[in-house]
Amino acid sequence: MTKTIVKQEKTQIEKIEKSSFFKETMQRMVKGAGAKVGVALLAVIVISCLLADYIAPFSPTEMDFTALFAKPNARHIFGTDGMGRDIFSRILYGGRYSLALGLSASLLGTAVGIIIGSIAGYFGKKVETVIMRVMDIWSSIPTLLLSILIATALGEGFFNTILALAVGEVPVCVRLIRGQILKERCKEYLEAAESINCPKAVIMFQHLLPNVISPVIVHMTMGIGSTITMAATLSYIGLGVKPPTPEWGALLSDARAHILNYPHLIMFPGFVIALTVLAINLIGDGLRDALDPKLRS
Amino acid sequence: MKKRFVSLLLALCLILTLAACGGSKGKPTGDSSEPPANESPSPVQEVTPPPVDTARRTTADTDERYPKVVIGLNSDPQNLSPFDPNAASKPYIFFEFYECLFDLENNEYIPVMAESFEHIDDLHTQVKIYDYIYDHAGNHITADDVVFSYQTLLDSGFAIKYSAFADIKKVDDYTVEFTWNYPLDSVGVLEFPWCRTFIFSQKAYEEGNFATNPVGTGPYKVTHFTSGSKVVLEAVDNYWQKDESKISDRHKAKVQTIEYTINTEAAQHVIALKSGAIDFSQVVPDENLKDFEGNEDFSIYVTPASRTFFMTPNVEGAFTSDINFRKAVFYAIDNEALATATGGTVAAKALGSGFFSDYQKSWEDEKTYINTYDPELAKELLKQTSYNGETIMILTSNAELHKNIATVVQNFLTNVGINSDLTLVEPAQLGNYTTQEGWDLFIHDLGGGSQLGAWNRVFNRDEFANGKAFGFIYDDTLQNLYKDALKVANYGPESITELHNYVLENAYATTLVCGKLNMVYNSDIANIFLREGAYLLPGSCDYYLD
Amino acid sequence: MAEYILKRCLALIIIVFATAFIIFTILYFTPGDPARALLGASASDAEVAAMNEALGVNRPYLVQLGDFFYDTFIRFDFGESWVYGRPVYEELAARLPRTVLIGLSAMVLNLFFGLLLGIFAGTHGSKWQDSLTMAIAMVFISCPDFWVALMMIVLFSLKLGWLPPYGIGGPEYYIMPIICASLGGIAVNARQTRSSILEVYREDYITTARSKGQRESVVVRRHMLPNALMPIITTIGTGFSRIVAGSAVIETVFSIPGVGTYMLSAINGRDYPAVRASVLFFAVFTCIVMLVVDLMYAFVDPRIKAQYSRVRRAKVQ
Repeated sequence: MTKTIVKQEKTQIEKIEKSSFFKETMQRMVKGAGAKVGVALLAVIVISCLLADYIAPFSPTEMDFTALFAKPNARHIFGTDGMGRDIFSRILYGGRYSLALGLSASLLGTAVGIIIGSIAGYFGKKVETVIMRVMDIWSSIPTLLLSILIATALGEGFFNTILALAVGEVPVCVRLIRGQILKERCKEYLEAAESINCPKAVIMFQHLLPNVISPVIVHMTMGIGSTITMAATLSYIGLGVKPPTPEWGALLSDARAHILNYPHLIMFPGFVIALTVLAINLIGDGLRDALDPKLRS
Repeated sequence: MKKRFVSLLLALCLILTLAACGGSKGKPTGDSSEPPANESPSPVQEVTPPPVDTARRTTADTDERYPKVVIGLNSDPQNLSPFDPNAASKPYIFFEFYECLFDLENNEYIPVMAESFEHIDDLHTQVKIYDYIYDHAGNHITADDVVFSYQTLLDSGFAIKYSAFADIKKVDDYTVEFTWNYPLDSVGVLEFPWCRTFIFSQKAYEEGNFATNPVGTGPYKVTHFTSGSKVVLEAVDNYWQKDESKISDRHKAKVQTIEYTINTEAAQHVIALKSGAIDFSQVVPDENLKDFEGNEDFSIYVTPASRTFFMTPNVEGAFTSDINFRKAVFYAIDNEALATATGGTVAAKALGSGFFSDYQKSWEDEKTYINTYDPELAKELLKQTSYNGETIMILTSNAELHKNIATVVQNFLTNVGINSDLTLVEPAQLGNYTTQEGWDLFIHDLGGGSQLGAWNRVFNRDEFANGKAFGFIYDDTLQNLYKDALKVANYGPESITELHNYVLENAYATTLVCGKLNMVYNSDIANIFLREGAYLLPGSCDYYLD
Repeated sequence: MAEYILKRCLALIIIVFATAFIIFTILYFTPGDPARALLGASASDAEVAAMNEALGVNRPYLVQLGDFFYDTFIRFDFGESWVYGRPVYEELAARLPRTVLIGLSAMVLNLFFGLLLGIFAGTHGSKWQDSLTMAIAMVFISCPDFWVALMMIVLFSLKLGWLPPYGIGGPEYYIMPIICASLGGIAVNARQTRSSILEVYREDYITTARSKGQRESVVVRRHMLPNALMPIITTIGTGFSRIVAGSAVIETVFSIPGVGTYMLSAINGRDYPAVRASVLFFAVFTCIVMLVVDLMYAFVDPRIKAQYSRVRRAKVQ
């Protein structure tokens, strides 16, 4: 009898321990309405883009020379561009590239920034000084110009564009994280963790990071949207992905010359970008609320 | 929950309102439920300008000047030094305040600062200049200044197309002697040495900075220059040429002030025209031309330009070395549809542009791969080659128009089963890729003073470091035909046509589209004057004075 | 404190050297050459080669690097722009005021409206005011800047005729560019402020202050704002770099000859002296801004100030 009770208690304890930090965060996140909407919206967009082969009525490169600059109608629900290509199909296929570009570049830049920033903020003194000076050099060259220089040097292409876009993110994240850590560094729980000989890596990533990560997450979610728009600027200068890739930014810059007479060319891609950025931001807000240690009870 | 949805809805509404505002501020959208059948805009080929209204007073009748005209440019001249007058928008500005010894008109050299010239022998020519030329600062122009101008140009490195020029020296105060490297028996060989080399005073050049404050001899002087933004010219009251009969149309000053403003966005030119901020633009997009139709305040003038888009294959490429493959590629492209799809161009029907005086209209009458669209024939020809679905490379620049043309060409090729990949490089560096290996098709644009001159950079192998013509062509017959056609003695429709047909027989190149000037201007301008048929000279236009 | 500032100034010099080296190397390995850009497509290969030789770009890497460092740091000669034909510093001196005017004005607007909207949203957290403000911010971040610019031009220039469509001149030429340049930043600042305020909102000392009977506005001003200020200061600091970079697009649409368009045309034209000099100017500018930001950290947060003084005191002992 006692054995079963102990066993039951044990399994219950195991169950509680197995519930990890990640799971908890996810559970808390989806409780908020905003995050629910964000996840749903992003899911719709991502799935539509992944299923573009089945949903899109036309191929993104198919040109119909009898229907150039067609306004939205029954056949082309978002209209066509100057070469007779269906905008709706191009948006669906283009989503794959844009989402991948935005996410990869932001994640890459932020991840590198978080690691470097945590090291700088936690270890302080010489390490911090050296890292911050390197970051100063890095960020002294304006982001767009650095992206243009790197894109010019590397040439066009998908992966080169990701690199060119990611470089701008790193010093900003480093500064943000370090600023937050400066605030947190004097708090007692860190002293407590150090006094029990907790490994430095554990202190940094398990105790310190969750408390300082909120502004970085907010910044990253904003960053994905601006990365997609920066890709549009690079496309305009001619350094982004190569045609006929229907990346959303390329759609925007193609539409630039025709804004006055054919606003539908810029309206629909712009609208889709706005929706995507909105969804990502809602998710980011939800994540921030979920990660806030004050709310955890 | 409700509030989040409300915020989401509000955000959507705001975006839609902003976007819809954009829609309603542009052209009113028509009923969009009809099938798109005839909605495609067709390219406006040519529009003749309204004729001069003889009932009204114009500047042609009197000495009075029109007060001010504002011209919209779409690229930045960057600096006003007298070298490199072909770059960006310099050809539109420079010829109002700088002058050369001669002007080029229909391959003839019309004296301007030169009074006369005399060929001493095959390799020497003496040129006498007027003895009463003064620049805007009052400096007297003498033979020393002429020699100095040429020397400074050569030292700067900007002396292009100067292969005939060997030396220049002073003979007396107003006469110089040119020494040539070879007898001048080619057409247009002195275009750059005589008609694009500006003459200025050595004193003014050394004492000032011509990059921002040039001192020339032309009918206008520069009063204001902000690089990237604005150039202002004022008419000169004491122009040096007092003999009215010797002042050609190009050196008149019919308007008091010319202001050039710079903006690279075509949409901004349309807005500026409509709001009256500028009086002239030649980059109005096709789709906006109809905005100005029927409007009394504006006139429209559309005319072909010299710029022609060539597609040159690599005759040493894996597949493009096979003439059947090349012909397949050329027959697969529909130039008419290409022009419609890319906007701002007209389809090429022969190996050049109707803009040039030595272009022969008869070339368009024959059925060639340039004016024929035959995908079935293309597929047939393809079967006769060893091509099996591999990917070939199309090289061009990432400028808007090149990019669009290449994208449509790629589409046409895919339709007949040729797979291709686009490689885009920076426009400024495009010229460097001609001698690099790896590309199969090269799309580039060419212009020039004559049709033959425009072909120089394609068929003349002396232009290239590797000793082969564009596309790695090494064909003695081609080279000889080209050089012979250039000789003044042979120059004429027959030799040019022979060259034209030889190129087509061997499928060495094709043309895709030609540029055109879409000009919209203030109807106060009675008559548009284009230098060499391409560059607006505001000082030489006629204006209504009432 | 003074020691800290001195250290940072020395570091500035090192940063400038390092940036110069990086920029030179990136340009050296970028494909393309200046002569082809200057002479155009119709020049023959021989003419292009001759000009490259004359410009000195064929010399070995170390020779060119040495020349560049000698000219820039010892003779303070930033070289002559190959494209513009006049000394680089002259052109920059003419263009810098325009970019700085737009940049600084946009930053002031960002700060003012961003803080205002952010505090408004943050203090009303989770109510309709919060959602509405954030929705408006969202819209402004999502719209492409050239679209907003062109729509404004159509409205204010074409339809109403109040403002000129492009160019430079009196203050009316700068109104639209400044507004367009600031919109995105206002939204970003508003979001960041709101997020910081929300964090601080839940702190114990806020509850304490309220329970003491403090007026809400005093609570916001004296307790919330200083603590929420850290990330905001960072964002403002980086905002300068962002605005300068974004100026390239605004300057193109409104045809304002500023440093953004200068750098773009210099990169396109492979005008190496111009690119190097402009980037160096920006490096120095940005470093000074960063130094100010770091000093403001210490100014705003007394704990950080104490850290620096503690370090000093510890050393003296």
